[in-house]
This record gives sequence, C-alpha cells and structure tokens, in this order.
Amino acid sequence: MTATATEVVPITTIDQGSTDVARAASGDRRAFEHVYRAHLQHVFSLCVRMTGDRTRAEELTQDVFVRAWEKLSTFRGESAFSTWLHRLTVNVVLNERRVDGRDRGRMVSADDDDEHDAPATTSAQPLHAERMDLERAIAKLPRGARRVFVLHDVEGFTHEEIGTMLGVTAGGCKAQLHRARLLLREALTR
Amino acid sequence: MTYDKHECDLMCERLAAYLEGDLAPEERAAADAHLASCAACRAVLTELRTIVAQSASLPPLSPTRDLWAGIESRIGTHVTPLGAPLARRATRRPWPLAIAAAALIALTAGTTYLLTARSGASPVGTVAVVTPAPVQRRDSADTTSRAIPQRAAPAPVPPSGVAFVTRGKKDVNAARVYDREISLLDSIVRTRGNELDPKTVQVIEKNLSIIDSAIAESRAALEKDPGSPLLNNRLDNVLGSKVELLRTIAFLPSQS
Repeated sequence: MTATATEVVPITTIDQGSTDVARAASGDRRAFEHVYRAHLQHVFSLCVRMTGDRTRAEELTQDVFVRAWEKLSTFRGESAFSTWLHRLTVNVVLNERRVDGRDRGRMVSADDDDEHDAPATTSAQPLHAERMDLERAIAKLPRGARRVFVLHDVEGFTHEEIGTMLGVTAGGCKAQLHRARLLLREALTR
Repeated sequence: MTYDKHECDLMCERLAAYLEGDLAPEERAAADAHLASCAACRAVLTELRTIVAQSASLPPLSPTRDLWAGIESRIGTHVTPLGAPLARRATRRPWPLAIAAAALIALTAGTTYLLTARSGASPVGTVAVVTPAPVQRRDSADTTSRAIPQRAAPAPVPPSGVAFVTRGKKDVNAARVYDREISLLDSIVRTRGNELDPKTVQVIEKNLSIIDSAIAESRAALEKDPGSPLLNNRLDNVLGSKVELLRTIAFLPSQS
C-alpha cells in the first residue's frame, strides 16, 4: 500500500494493541475482542466499499475476524498487524467473490454494465457534493471496476499489488480504474 | 479557448495515462499544451482529480449493529487445529490408557459441570489454542525422555479462611472443584510427557504458563477485592480455561 494517508496513532495505543494481539494469539478471547474493536471500522469500511452492500459487508466483517482468530498464530509481526489484517480482509472479500462465482471473469469484461444502476440522485449534484454521494456512487459501480477503484484510490494499493490479488495485468487494472473514475464522474455530475 | 475535436479525443484517450503519470515526456507536454487551451478537458481532469482526492480521505464506516456476538460464538470452538486426523489419533493411543483417561476426564468434566452449575459459576470460555507439531516417529535409538518439564504442581486449594475467606461459599466451591479437577488432569498430563512431540510440549508449556499467570493475577486481585463479581468470574474463567486445555492435552495423539 502506498497512497493512503498516514494514520497517527498514540504510542500507548500501539503498545496496548500489540499486547492485545499477542494475548489474542495465545488464545485470549477478551484480548481478541479488544483487537476487534480497534480494527472494526477499518475492516468494515473496506468490506462495504468492496461489496457495495452493507448487509453483506457485516457478514464478511465477521468472517474476517473469525479468520483472523484462526490465523493469528501465523502472524509473525513482520508487518504491522493492521497491514496483516487489511490483507486478510481483501483476501476474504475476494475469495468470497470467487466462491460465490458471480464475479468470475468480470475484471476485464464489459459484461457487468447491466449491474451499473444510476445513483439515486434526483437533481444535479455538484462534484464536491457530500461524501455520502461518493459512497453511494462507489457502491453502484460495476463490481470489477469498484474493486479496483477501492483498492487503488481508497485503500492505496499499487496496480501491481492489485494485479497480483485479482489475477490481472497492471494494464488491465489501470483500464478498470479509469473506467471507474469516469463512471463516478458521470454519476456525481449528473 | 480553442476547441479541436481531434485534440480533445486524443486527450480523452490519454487521460488515464496522464493521471497515472504514465505519458512519455513529449506526450505529456502535448497534453499540457492542450489542457492550457481547452477548458472542457481541463474541467474533466479537475473533476477526476477531485474524485481521487476525496476517495483517499473517505471517513471510516461503522456497522449498524455490534458484530462481536456473532464472531464470539464462532470462535468458541475449543483447541484447534489438531495435527493428525481423528481416526488416526484414535489408533495411536493404547486402548487401556485411552479408556482410563477418557473415563477419568468424563468423571472430572461431569463433576465440574454439576458443581459449577450448582454454584452459579459462569460458563467456561475456551481461550487456549494448541497447534501441535506434526507427529513424528521417534528414532528407535532415541530413548531420551521427553517428559513435559515438571511444572509447579497446581496451587493447592487454600484452606478455608485464607485466600478465599471472603469469597462467597459458592465461589469457594467452584474454585475448589476447578483446583481438584486441575490436579487430576495435571497428573494425567504429566504421565503423557514421553508420548508427545517436543514441539507440541513446548506449545503446551507456553499456553499453560500464560494461563497460570492469569490465575495468579486473578487470585492476587481477588485478595484485594474479594467481593468483586467481575474478578470472581474472571478467575472461574481462567480456571475453566486451564481445565479445557489439560483435557485437550490428555487427548492429544501420541507421537509414536
């Protein structure tokens, strides 16, 4: 990840977080609840934006933390826990899509245009409209374009990283990103 | 401002690469020259850049409900994963020992349930995770004992009127039951020291050490605030965790 804004976290929070992660890795469920509460918003936000569906995102968020609990013993501390959890979240969401099958083959296909419904705006909106409008517009992007857009422009992954995650070339990733941006512009200026 | 459709179409084609900084220097210079003279293309570029900037600073979102209960119910599964298939494990333990261990464990589990249920102790949560190393056959020449290092014997039940003097009678009963059960299970586990893989023993020791520390901390806290329901509950939970872990160790597959 390269483009996300740096989050300033108090040192005491980091220390407590590290302790909670270590204790959770030893099987302490109370500590794991602390870990959950510390990272809930980030995980849920990613799930919402990747899926465009808050209800599904809640289910996936639970899946992410259950998976994190199961895999905590494999966390070696080589990266920040938040980075590890972030990757895990992306994997859970993408794997869900693969299992689900609805998203298969859509990455470089234009076939998902039929899923691109118009945003529920009834009047012309200035481009600098509230963030909620942007959230709604992101949710209405075709799945393939949405995933690339969220991973790149919201979460800060590079095209190469996204390409690896999604099994596409960096060029294909860039094409999807541009398509997503144009669709968002169209939706927000309509 | 000038409008050149051909130039605008070319700019549109190059917009993605322009935003990504992927244009060659001469192409970028041409694009900059067009943007300087074309308000329409400049507006599109500005709008796209605004979207990119806003997307990078979207605030975090929160679910409409607390998801922890659903997560907690799914991570309640006891010690996992075991390294060997269940069927295989079942054939590895000598039958008489397996039957005796199972009977004893069932007896202690039943006793714990009855007494702690009667005492109103909270359900026992499982906290220990044991990931035993793959079972390895010992070299026939290796007869070195791989016993679990002798840990300190479980803390004896404090005589009434000492550590738990001010805990409620029910709490004292629950704690005694746990101590008694831990003592029984601990004796089983110690006799199994030679049978388990050393790496597994190492993990077990680590987990037991963590739980023993938690027990000691809880008891120390209770001495200062004996009437605290929270501390009493916490002690019951960690004692229960130790019981669960010891039971699991008793059922772990032998390495040979």
